[in-house]
Amino acid sequence: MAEVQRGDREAYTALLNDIGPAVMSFLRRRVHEGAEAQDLYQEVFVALHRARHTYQPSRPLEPWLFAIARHVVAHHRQRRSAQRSREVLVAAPPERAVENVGFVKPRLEQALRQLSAEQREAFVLLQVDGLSVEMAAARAGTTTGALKVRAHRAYRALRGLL
Amino acid sequence: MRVVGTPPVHRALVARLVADAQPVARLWPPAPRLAAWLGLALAVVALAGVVGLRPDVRTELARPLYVAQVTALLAGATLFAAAALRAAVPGLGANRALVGAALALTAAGVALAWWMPAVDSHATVFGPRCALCVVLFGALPGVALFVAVRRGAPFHARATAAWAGSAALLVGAAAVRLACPVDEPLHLLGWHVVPVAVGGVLSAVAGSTWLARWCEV
Repeated sequence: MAEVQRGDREAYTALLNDIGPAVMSFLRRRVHEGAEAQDLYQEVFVALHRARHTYQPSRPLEPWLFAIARHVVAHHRQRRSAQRSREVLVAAPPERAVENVGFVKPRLEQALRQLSAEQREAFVLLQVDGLSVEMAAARAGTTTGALKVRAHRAYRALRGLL
Repeated sequence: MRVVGTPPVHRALVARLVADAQPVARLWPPAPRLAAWLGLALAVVALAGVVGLRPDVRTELARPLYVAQVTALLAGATLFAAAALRAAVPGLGANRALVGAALALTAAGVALAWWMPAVDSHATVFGPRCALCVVLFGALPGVALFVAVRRGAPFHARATAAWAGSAALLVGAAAVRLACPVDEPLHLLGWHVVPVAVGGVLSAVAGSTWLARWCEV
């Protein structure tokens, strides 16, 4: 990233290719619509590009990157919420394409949907993505203690649901 | 070749961003920027002591409560400024503790006035002038802090603008505390500290739009 700040285009290409899958995975966990996730993916990359001068090489990249991604998602949810409050409900919902969720079994997926967003995120980061508590906490933008509490509550809720 | 796990738009997006990848001046970390801002704030406070209406400022500076009050206001300003500068750097974590401590110090600065013996009662005469001076003395630190925050990437523009505005106006309040000859607690609360609270709210409204522009395409 320090090379990117100096204008090294090869390093920038390598960095964006490297973080792309992690960013997409992060977004898929937060938005259900594929097209929406793709739009947000572009927004995250543009925000990262505009904020690249704020990165401090002495600090790890992940908290910086996912703080930007979280901000983009939160901003998107605010916009969407405002938009929904203005929309008129229709009599019948439109048909929805089947999403390729793939990473969890249907019953578990159904149970996961009943958890709070924070608990679901903690569970997926630790149990589906297999991250360490420290990495998962950095990605969720919280402390390791708070992440452990969220995960514990998620496990307890899932035991009751499954 | 498509990068696995990325959407179809990835290649075009990367090509567009890389084409625009000019060298950028790295943002200084919050600590040295805060130190520079604090230097400016102290200079403003010192100037107020020199040009102020208070003839006994040297005597007052020997009273521990008086010094503690000015120090509490300046410390509150510093913590608000630190929160604003940190908020402009992604991934530095929450600022709740900093803002809580800044509010506590400001409250302590106000509360100390009740322990100090009242000397004069020109509250009505000096009142509006004091409020104006809080704004005037806070203007330069305010502009400097907003420019410094704008250089970063402030996500929560409204809160960041409120913290930056409060920091600047607390410097103004500390400066006016050195310049104003009135020691009455209600005067200090009404004409020195309430303008800080009102200014904090106004800067949240006015400054948030400007700070939020960093991410506009």
